[in-house]
Order: sequence, then C-alpha cells, then structure tokens
Amino acid sequence: MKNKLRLFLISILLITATLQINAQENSSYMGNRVLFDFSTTFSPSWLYPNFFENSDHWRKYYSFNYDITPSIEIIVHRKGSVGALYHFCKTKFEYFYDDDFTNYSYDTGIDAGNITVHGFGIFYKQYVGSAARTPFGTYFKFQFDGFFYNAVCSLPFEQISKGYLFATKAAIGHDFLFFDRLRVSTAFSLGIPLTGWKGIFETIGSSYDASSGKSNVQGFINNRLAGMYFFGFEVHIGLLAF
Amino acid sequence: MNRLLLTIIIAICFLIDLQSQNSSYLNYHLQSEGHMPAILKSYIENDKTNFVSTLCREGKIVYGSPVNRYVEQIADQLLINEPTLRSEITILIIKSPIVNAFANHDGILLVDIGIIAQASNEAEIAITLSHEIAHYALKHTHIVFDYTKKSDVILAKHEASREQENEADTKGIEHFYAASKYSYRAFEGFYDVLQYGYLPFDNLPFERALIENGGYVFPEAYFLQNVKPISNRDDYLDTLSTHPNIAKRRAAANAIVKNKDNTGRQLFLQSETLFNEIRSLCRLECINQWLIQHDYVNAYYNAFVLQKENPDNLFYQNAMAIALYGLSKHKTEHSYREVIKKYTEFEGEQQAAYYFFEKASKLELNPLAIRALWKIQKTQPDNIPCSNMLNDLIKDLTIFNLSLSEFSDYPMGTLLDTIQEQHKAVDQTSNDKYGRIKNNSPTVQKIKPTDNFKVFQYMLCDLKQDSSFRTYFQQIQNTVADEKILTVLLPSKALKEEMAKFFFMQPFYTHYNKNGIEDEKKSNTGLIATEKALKKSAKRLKINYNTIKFKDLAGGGRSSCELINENDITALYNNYCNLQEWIFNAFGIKEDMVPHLSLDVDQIHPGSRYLVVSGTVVRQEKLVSFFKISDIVFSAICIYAAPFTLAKFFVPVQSIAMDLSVVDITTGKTVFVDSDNLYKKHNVPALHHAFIYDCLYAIKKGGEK
Repeated sequence: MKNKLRLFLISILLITATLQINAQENSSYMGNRVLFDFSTTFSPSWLYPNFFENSDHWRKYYSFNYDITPSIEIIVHRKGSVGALYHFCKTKFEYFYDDDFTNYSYDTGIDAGNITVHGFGIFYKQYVGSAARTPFGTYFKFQFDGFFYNAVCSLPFEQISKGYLFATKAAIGHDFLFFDRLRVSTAFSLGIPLTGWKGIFETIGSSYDASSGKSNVQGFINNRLAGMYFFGFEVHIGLLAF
Repeated sequence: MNRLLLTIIIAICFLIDLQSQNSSYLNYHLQSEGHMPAILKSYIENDKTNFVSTLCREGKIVYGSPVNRYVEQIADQLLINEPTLRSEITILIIKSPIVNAFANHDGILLVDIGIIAQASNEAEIAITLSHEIAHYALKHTHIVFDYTKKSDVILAKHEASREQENEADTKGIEHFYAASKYSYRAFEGFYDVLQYGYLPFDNLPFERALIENGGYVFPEAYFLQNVKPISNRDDYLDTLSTHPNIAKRRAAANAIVKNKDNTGRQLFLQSETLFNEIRSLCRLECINQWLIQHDYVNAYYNAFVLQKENPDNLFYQNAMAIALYGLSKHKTEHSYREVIKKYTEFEGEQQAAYYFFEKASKLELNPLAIRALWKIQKTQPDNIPCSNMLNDLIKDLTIFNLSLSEFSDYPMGTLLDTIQEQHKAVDQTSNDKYGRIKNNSPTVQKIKPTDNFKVFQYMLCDLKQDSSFRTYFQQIQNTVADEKILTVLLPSKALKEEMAKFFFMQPFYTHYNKNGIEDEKKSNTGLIATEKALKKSAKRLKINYNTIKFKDLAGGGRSSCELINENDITALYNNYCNLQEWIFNAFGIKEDMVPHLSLDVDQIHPGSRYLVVSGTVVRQEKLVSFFKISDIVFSAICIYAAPFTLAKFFVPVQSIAMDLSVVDITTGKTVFVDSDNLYKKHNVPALHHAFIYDCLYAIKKGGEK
C-alpha cells in the first residue's frame, strides 16, 4: 500500500511536469526533442562486494558495480525532460554455506553468488540556472525504478532465487552539448528502496547463510541491491536524434 | 604637355561631376564608383576578419569616388619617379571623421575623410600620403599592443613604433615628397592639422540667433560666458604613445625642409577650387558620419560653422534639424548622456553648444526641433524622413499632454494688457451655447500667455500664426488619438504573417581571447556556426532564409557565366554600405525614434521588409581558475568527482552577449528584439544556437517580445 502511494505521487509529479508545456514557448532544442542516451552508473563497492570480489581491501573504495542503462528522453519544456530507461547489471553477494550432506562429507565455506538484474525506470529532469536549457546545463533528476533479479548460489547445491525491488533516486548532474547533437553528462545520485533506507545498512559485513534456507534470501538480496543503488555516479553519452 | 592636358581634362571632369553633385547635396553620401579594386575584391572573397575587411564589412570603405580620384592624383605626383611602387599601391577612403591614415602591408593606403576635411591645402594631404607610402616602402609592420603583458614590453613596443614613425616621416619627406612639386611651406600647416584636427572645422562663437528668435529667448544661464581656451600644448609626454609628440615631429620635419629649395613648388598642383570642392564633400560626409554615430552636437555645431560659409546649402539646414531631433528624443528618453558628453570635456567655442544642449530641457528642445523640421517641411515636402521626424515630435507633445492651446500666440515680453481679447468679445456677443463653444475651439482661439508660462510655451508663437502649421499639427495629434482607438479595434498584423518578407543580414560575431584581444580564427569559426544555426533554425521553422552576404559583394558564389558586371558589383557594394550605415544608425537610436536615413528596400532585397540582424560577442574565460584547481584537489581526494572535474576542465568556460532584432525597414521601427548576457558558462555555443532558434520560434508564433 505504501509502495503504491509513492508510485502514485511520483506519477503525479511527472504528469505535472509534462503539463508545463507552453505552446507559445519553444520547448525543443533547435526543433529537436528526442534523445537516445546510454549511461553507466558506477556504484562503489564499499558497502558490498562487486563481481570482482575485492571488497576486503581498501581498493573496494575504487572498485565499482556497473549499472548499464540505455534510455530515451523527451524534452517537455525549456527546463525539463522526461524519459524511460532500462537497467542491466550483474553483481555478487557473499553467502555462507554449511552442508554436511554433500557427498557424504562435511562441506562448509564462503562463496560468491551471482545476481543478474534487469530493470525499468522512468525519470524527470529539471534543469536549473540561467545557463541551463533542456537538454544541457545543470540538472536535478528524479527517478523511479523497478528491478527484477535472479540470485544464484552454486554451493553446496544450486539455488535460484527470483525477486524484485522498487526504488527511487535523485541525482544532480551537468549535461554538455556538443555540435548541437552529442550530449555528454556526469551526475551523482543517491537512491533508496521504497521499503526504506534502513535495509541498506542491515546486512553490511554479513553473508547470506545459504544452509538449507536458514534466512530470507530475497530480503538479503534486496538489501544488497539497495546498497548498490544507494550511491553512484553516472557517466552518460547521448544523441539528440530528432 | 600631354600630362598637363590630361590633368586639365581630369580636373574638368571632376568639376562637372562635382557640380552635378552640388545640386544633390541635400542627401549627399560619399559612394563608391567604377570598378572595385582587385585587392579589395580579394579581401571580400576571402571573407576573413582583419582590419581592412572589418572596415569594408562595416560599409566604411569607399573606392572610385571623386575623393579617391583626387587623392590618387596626389599619389601619382608623389610617386612620379617610382611607377613600380605606384602600381603596388591602392588608395581607399575611410568614411570616418577622425584625422588619420594607415598603410597596410599589402599596399593598401587607407585615408580617413577627416584628414582631408581638416586640411588647408593639397600639399598637406600629400604629406600624409608620403608618410604612409614610406611606411609601406619601409615594410613597417603593425605592432600589436597586448596590454596584458609586462609594462616594459609595452614601453619597448611603443618606442619601436615611434621610431618607425620617425623613419616614415624622414623617408616620406626626403624620398617621396621631395620628388613631387609640392611646397615645403605646407609642413607647418600639416602639423597644425594633426594637433588641432579634433576640433570642429572652425572655431566660431555659438550664436544665439541659431536657436532663438524674436518670439522667445532662453535664460542667460543656458549660455556659457567664457569657454575653455584651446590647448596649445604639442610637447606632451609621448612615452605611452605610438607616435612621437607633435613638437618633436614638427621640429624634425622643419630640420629636414629648412634648407630645401622651394622654388617652383606649390601648395596646389591640382586646382584650389577642386581642393575646396573635395574638402567640402569630405566635410559633408563627416557630418553624415556624426549623425550616423549619434554625435548630434558635433554634427549641429559643424553644420552651423559650414552654413556660415554657404547659407543656401540645404544639407546643413537638414543636418541641424536632424541633430535637434536626435537631441530632443534623447532628452525625452532621459538618455542624453549617451549622445551628449559633458561640456567640460570640450574646449573652444563648441563648448558653448555642448553647454546649451546640456541645459535645455526636453520641453524646450522639442519645439526647437519642430521649428527646424517645419522649415524643411515647407521647403522640401518630399523629404519623408524629416516629415516622419516632425510627426514624431508632435506625437511626443501629445504624450506630454501638450496641445497647441498650451503654446502662446504672443511673443515673449508682450504686455498682457495690450492684447486684444477678440475671441472673448465674440463669445459674449453670442447667445448660442454651441456658437460660443465653436468660437473657443483650439484652431480659432488665441492663447494669451500668463505669468506662469515657460520659455517653451512661446517657442511656437510665430508658427501658430501659420494656418497650415496649425492644421498639420492638429492632424497629427488627431492621428495619435485615432491610432489609440484603432489599436484596440484592429489587431496589428502579426509578424508571423509577414515571414516571406524577412531577410537576414550576415550575423556579427566577435570572439575575444582570454586577454581581451579578438581571435580572428575563432571569430570566423563562430560566424560560420552562427550562420549555420540561423539557416538550420529558419529551415526547421519554414522561414525563408534570404541573406545578404558580405562575400557576395564581389560576385562571390556566382559562376563565371552569371557573374554580374563591375558596375553592378559597385552598385551592390554601395547598397550594402548604405544598409550597414542604416543598421548602425537604426540600432543605436532609441526604439521609438525615426532613423534619419532612408533605405530603398527593393534595391537591397526586392520584396523584403523585415531585416533580421543578430550580433554575438563571446569572451573566452581563463581555463585554470581557483575553482578548477580546487576541483582537481577534490578529485584527488575523492575519485568519484573525477568525471566532473575532467568534463569541467576540458569544456571551455565563456561569457556571451547575444542579440537578435527584427527591424521594419520601411518605418525603422524595431518589431522584435531579444538579448541575453551570460557570464562564465559552459555550453555557450549550444546556448547561442538555442537563443537563435527560440527567437525565430517566437517570431513565427507571434512576434511579440
């Protein structure tokens, strides 16, 4: 119920922004309104490991999870645009297993499981300042995402868990437009799942106990993804197509 | 003998030419004639930003005119023994009232009309030319002064420049001037021209009779009793000058010429009459240029000075009326400081004129200008710009809530008791209410001044006796009242319906580097990008993109079979120059002012009416600023900021001032204007292009801005 209310509020925000279109005022850039964008969100693996599994060292601050995001964006007014995007990312999670039934021998250990995430999202960008004008300049972005994931633990036997997570994030960034077509952007983002921010920190430093389903894998993966989603910086390259 | 005969024939041709121009002095403008010089054509075709093409682009360069031909004759005399050098030199005239001349590295000598207008004889012009020819012969290059460099470097450059000037003076006299038959006696006068050339054409007292008549007098406080004496100092400190001071140059020249034999040498090798005519043309053009530059008091005072010599010349009368109109409008708009410098900055008798116009109020300048323009209206009813100005001033009185009934019918100082109140007698004899009302109507009623009447209220007393003035005045005021109603009843024709009548002027684009010096390469690149943006935006919005391009003036862009003939090129060039002057004048005046120049639109671009002009100035900001260094430090600490820093580091930071206007050429009114200034921003080219598109979009949608 709570999630539905948030979704409703975000939808209202987007629709309101879209309705700001003023027919007398040019909202396009040189007559073009549609952008295709490709971005990567670099999320530092300081809370959770990335798929390179180097989270134990200081280097974890300089290694990242990568969220690949193609998107389509439509200019709706001089200072705003809306868009839809697709997410794809792969990451890891640590799990602990303790299985005394495998091959009739006691087997225990820590391994890294794989998480594959596909997701969809919508966003609204509000450009700010005198030198900003859609689609370039400094902007704030408000985004709503839904993630659908598969989490796989291989040991002691293969377990596949499926789940979903809804989250929202805000970003601040700057778009540069070159040759009236090519857009390059950078941004910082902060995001939280709709279930609240507490979960992000709940499972820090702990591993999922994969032994005979002793704990809730979906809750653990959700927290894991929320940690990845919590902080990121984005690099975009886009084309103002038509 | 043949040479003498040829000179006489040319002189006769000049005189015939000048006589024919004399009759049209009324609207005199110095124009190019004949074939465009090949070297100028190459400048235009290459379309690069440099000193000569910038002047050309501004419509300031003249070729083939009587003035050019006269100066060419002088150059022939100076280079009589150097035909090869003569063939390398092209003389062009600059329509600028400044006393100056330049030599370019490619043999172009640029002579300002100001130096001819201030000269006393032909030999003084010959000295100027000999100096500039020497610069070219000695291959002196222009020294660019970069004031951001260390001061000792600047001082060294100034010193080098002064040395070059001394060399050019010496070589000019000994090599070129000596080869001619011009008199050495001209040198004293020449240095006087350099020293006092900033002053008007003569130093005559500013006469009260110019602005007063029997009907009214201005307060004594409006007239300066003692003007500042003209400074005679010629030995000023020249350490920061590109030229040695006048005293040094005069002494050096005198030292060279004092032992020279002056036998057979003359101040005029062409006739003195011809010189006077040529100088008159230059003086007329100087006044034109002052009016175009809105230097109204200068134009007014110099027209007054010249009118003393030639009272029947209508050009001066018109120039003075136009100047008064400009002054009145700027006073009305409270922007007179834009056109009237403080009187204390001036010396000599002209100071009194500056003082008067500073003191006179808007209510006094308006009738003063009306008086001058009405005089023209009576004698030149076909003078449309002056009629429009007159109408505009009468409309201004309506805005001040002043009708003819606010102006006295009796001159200032008339004893009130002696005025017969005829109309009252009529009123009293009439028993009919409506009869009394009609007899009291403004066209019939004579206005008796009261003790509270101000000076301006007496200024139309003589004109009010003229029934044609009263009718004209009333008609204009009625029109103003009707226009107010018509504005409500009939919506004005939206600009969007007139898109087919648009034509685009080649945009102005200037790019300054970090040191404030124009970067020609980036200016050219920016200009091309701006043109592309205009073209692309117009195409997208389905606006006809008709342009007038500087490059087309030399026949550029046409194949050999469709290349127009040389006279057509000159006609095209003159039209372009007229347009440039019109633009300069129209864009410098207040929005509701009437431009004094008229333009034949069909000659410029047939079927067009609205001119689209855009101007952009971009300034490159310093790449490494405090904030950027702080970004780098921040990035070193927190690697997540690196993409931001990299982006900010490589994307240039610029400041931009951009403007786009649409002017109705038939009325001179600006129908659309938008401008924006952005300081130290990224994405400046994109912002500029967005601005262009947005402006055209706004015009297309309604044209209200």
